[in-house]
Amino acid sequence: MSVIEVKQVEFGYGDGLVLRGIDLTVNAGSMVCLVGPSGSGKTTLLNIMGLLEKPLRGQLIFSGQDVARLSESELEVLRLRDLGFVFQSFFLIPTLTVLENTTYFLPALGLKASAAVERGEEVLKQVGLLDFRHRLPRDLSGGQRQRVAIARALAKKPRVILADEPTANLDRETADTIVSVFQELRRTQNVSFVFSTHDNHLVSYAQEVHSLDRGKLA
Amino acid sequence: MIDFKIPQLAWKNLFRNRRRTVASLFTVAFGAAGLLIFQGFNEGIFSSYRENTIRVRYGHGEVFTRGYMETKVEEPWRMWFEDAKSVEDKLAQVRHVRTVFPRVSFYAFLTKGGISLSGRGEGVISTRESKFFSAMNFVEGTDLDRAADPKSAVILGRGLASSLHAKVGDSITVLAQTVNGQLNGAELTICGIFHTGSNEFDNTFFRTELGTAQNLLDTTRVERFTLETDGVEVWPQVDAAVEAALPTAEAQSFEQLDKIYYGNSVVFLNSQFAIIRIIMLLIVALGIFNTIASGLIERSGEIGALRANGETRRRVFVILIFESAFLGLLGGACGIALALLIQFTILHNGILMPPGPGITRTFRVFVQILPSHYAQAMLLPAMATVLASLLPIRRLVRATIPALLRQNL
Repeated sequence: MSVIEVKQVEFGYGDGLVLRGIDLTVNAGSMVCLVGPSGSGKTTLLNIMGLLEKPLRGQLIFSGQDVARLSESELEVLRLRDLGFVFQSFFLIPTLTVLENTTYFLPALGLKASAAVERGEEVLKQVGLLDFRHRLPRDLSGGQRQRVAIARALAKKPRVILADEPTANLDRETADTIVSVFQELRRTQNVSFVFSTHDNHLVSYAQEVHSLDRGKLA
Repeated sequence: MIDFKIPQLAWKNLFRNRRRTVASLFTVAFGAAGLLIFQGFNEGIFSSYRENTIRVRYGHGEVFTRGYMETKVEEPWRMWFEDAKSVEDKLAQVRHVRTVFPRVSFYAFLTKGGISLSGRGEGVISTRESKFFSAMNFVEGTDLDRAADPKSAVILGRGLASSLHAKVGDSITVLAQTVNGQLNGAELTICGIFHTGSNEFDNTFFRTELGTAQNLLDTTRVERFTLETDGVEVWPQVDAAVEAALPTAEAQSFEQLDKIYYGNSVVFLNSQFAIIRIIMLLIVALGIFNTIASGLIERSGEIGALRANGETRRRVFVILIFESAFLGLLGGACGIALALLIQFTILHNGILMPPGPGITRTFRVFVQILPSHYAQAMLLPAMATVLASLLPIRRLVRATIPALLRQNL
């Protein structure tokens, strides 16, 4: 069953096109990897799949809905409920503890404080950071921070997690830990993962690998 | 629905970059302290002017027959109180009135040797007046009540005495027109020379006992009753009570009676303060604008990540506004503490001010901060901070998520 369908999508800034005629389907529980040189359009395609940009041409179907027909507030709801985003630079809130960062979005999803803490702790246990829940991000290593960012995305129980170069700032051992967390969640919770990377080691874990070159899928 | 997490989050965010927060707090605090000290200083000047006006001339206010102050008549004494004792007794019964001072005023010629000058005389009951009207500042001699024979004594303003070449112990002749139009005179001995600080007053004014003045004018009437009340703040009640007790009389506060000196000074200083307040708040806003803007731009990636994960524009806006408001309020609180420190250390002994326009003596101003000033010192810098942050917040909130993530605003 497909979660995201990208159909003949084109996107560009000004006169130049960054993406041309992209067709791609992300199925539930799949792990899709986007590779390609810098500037090939990987991040732009992730942004479109993550409902951050709307295609100039073509169609994006997310959970069976044509994204072009959705208002900004409807997109906000979809991003909150169904999508999790993880970035190379983590972007955690430095003044909140690991647990507070993890549970940040849960009140907006209707969870009461105690339920949010329970879910936050459960997710932190999955990523191996339960013992660090009361620490601030500045007290963690790069790999631990990335795991908090993943935990924050996972705590929402999204259908898809999009990750832009999630292991670029991490050493091999930490990157392996992150990927194993992805694999585990994919198997146990049917979460789909789409990530862009330059890391061949990470690519080896993906079920589908799509190569982008100058805005086109190879 | 109020999201109670927002204030909590905004408060925590305030301290994410302590150095920047401290720099912003200093700017806001100095602005707030400046506002507070300046407002307190103005209040001190008002208070000094007010005390001078009240304790030299008008008391807290005066009572006349209705229409007396507005009517121009050839024989003003016809509008004076005839049954003075009964009016005085009624006024003494009015709530918040402590002392009633009956007075008459008149114009007269004062002659000493070959010099004759016109002056404005006032007949008063000196034993009552000397206790309350304490700002007369006798440079020579004493008040009427301490004269050997108060009934034949006179006190002169310094300028008037100087023009007459008169000193304490000298005799002067006071010539005035009686209520019947005849010329009447009295030989009075100068028992004191005063200066109130007001040139206009000191150059023309003299005082005698009420009985002496009434004899000179050949009347038993009283022109007006000056009142000492429980304070300036009770005047509206006193005014109302006087109108009720004496329907043919009207009361006027010292502010109405001394519009030129006190009333205009208050308006002038308030207008000046309003302009300076705007300038100071503008300086605060401009001073923190850059700090706030650069702090927000640094956070664009983080805000982009939150929005990518479903955070709404509205919530981001509210969180950032709360942060600015907290910064402003905290800065205001620090400013109040700083202002109090300055008030009770450096400005503990007040500020010696040079004579103002039309005034001949220096005066000491003490910073007087009122409760309403504290509220202003908290709220106005907070408003300036929020206003200063509106533009960068708006820019951040309106940016697209990819632009925020690229940290390219």
